[in-house]
Amino acid sequence: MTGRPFDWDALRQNMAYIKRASELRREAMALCKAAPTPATYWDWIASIAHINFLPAGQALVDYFAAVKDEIERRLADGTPGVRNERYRVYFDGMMNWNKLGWLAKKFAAHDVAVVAGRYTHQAFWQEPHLIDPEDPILGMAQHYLLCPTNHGTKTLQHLLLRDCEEYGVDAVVFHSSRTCRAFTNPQRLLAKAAQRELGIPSMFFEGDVADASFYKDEILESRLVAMLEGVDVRRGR
Amino acid sequence: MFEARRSGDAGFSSSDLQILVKSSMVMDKAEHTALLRRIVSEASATPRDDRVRLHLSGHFCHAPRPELLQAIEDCGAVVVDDDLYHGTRYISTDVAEGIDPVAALADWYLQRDVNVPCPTRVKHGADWEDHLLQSVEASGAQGVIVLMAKFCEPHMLYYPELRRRLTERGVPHLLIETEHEGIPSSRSAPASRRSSNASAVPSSSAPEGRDPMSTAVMDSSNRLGITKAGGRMVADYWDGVFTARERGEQVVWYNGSAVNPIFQAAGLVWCHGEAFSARLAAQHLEGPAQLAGQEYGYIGELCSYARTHLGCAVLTRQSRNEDHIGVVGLVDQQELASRLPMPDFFVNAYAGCSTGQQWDTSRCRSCGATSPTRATWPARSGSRRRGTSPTSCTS
Repeated sequence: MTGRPFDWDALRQNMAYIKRASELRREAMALCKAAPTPATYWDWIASIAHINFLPAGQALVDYFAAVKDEIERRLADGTPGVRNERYRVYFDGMMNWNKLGWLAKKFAAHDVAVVAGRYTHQAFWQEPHLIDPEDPILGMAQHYLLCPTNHGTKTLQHLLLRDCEEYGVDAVVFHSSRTCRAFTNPQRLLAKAAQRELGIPSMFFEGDVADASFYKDEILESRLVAMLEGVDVRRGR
Repeated sequence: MFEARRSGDAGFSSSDLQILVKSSMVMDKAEHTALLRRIVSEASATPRDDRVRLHLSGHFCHAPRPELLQAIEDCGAVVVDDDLYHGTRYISTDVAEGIDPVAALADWYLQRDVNVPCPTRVKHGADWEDHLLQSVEASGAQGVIVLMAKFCEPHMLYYPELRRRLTERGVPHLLIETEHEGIPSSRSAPASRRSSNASAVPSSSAPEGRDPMSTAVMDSSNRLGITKAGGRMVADYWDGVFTARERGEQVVWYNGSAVNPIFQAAGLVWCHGEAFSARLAAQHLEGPAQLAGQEYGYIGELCSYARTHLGCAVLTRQSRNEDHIGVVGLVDQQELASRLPMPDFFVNAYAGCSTGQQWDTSRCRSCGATSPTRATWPARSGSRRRGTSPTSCTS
């Protein structure tokens, strides 16, 4: 189709770089289980392009090595990802790309550290051990099927509850992205599971992946405040 | 009965015919057939009067409410044909007799999508718009009402193609979006109404400049410093995509899974559709592409990744005549949405999203490509293993 023979050696090399970059990314994510977290969900959002589609190469590995280095430095000197972390939240939903900076500031303004999320932590070469650089096709195929919109609710519940426990989450924020029904379909069931299994409250806000007209800031603001009040009440018991 | 209606008999309304189809789905077949024969034998032909003759199109899943069908006829119209699921689409194809029943049913499912094409099936060999225009001509319909069930993405993705062909043929048409109860939604509107709505897109998509938090509240977030360098990496990557033609490189547009390591090994330049839409949105530059998509006919409930990227394709195609080197957007180079180079290949790599396949087909169409050909990814040397099966078409 391209008029050139396919370069299998290049594919193996590409997957070796991606495997290493992914390992560094996952190791850096795990460091954020610390409280206060040294980096937030928004940092992982800002690094999605790299792991998802930037060219495989040494520069990609170097980038995630630098991410991990910075997080380790922050842990060593006590620098948090949110200046006054009082709440730790899990974010379930596609990213609202129109509002990346806005949401980062919004949650931080309420002393909320968004520590992990389905979109960042359950996608994008999230299982590097599946990649065999010498024989990469099987692991690639497995990865393509391990997409967070391709899981049943039972699997999603397992992943959500596991992350909530590992990251010490106080509450879950569900971004109900209007035009991505594949991602939002199981969210009500996930919210019930978090409440039922871990006693963790949740809230929903409306928005979208790329259409800003669906986002209503007042709704997010009021629901976030109410949910955090609920967390305070729970802590006070 | 359907053929008689198509040929001029107005004896049965669309509500009547829907009852006959729906009852056939739940009744004992022998009992239903006996009753149907009786109805046919007792019916007498009723010539059409001078009401406006309409074709009803769409509604692939549940039946539109009889009240809606009645309301259409109360407006002074007579339905002369349809391609509704609970109508012509359902009865278009018979199950073959004399062969294995399971094979016959399988053939029936597949052949039905040839006889009355359905965009939920992504059958590249059949064009719904051709079928629709032929049906309109055969029945003498003077107009088409498209009934679109809310959130039906295959229909949303295909509708602009229907609209374009109907407009080219001078056939008046109206889109009515329905709730899942089968009644019109409050968002239902003809194209002119949507065009007026479109003007709201740019104004509502750039609120960042009016960010009250930036002045009223101190920013308490403390983002990693390395992400700034990461941002430059991403910008450099996209600049490389925009200038691919200048380097004589081949370009692939893809959506879905991260199959880019394959493209890289093949020496291609790759553009991930969702990623480009996300980048436009993150930079608050999505407005022109979404507006172009909206004016082309993609409604606001369609995946905004898809309609933003398809809007880019529309802008790209519009600019094609002005740019013979393949980099589009010479009219306004500042519009990032129109800077994508035309693709040499489309690849669909969706595992977990029902939108992907139709999106891919729409991309080909909106870029003016012919129906894509399928090709098998080259088998690895010395191995029987097969990988992805890309869809490609020339632009």
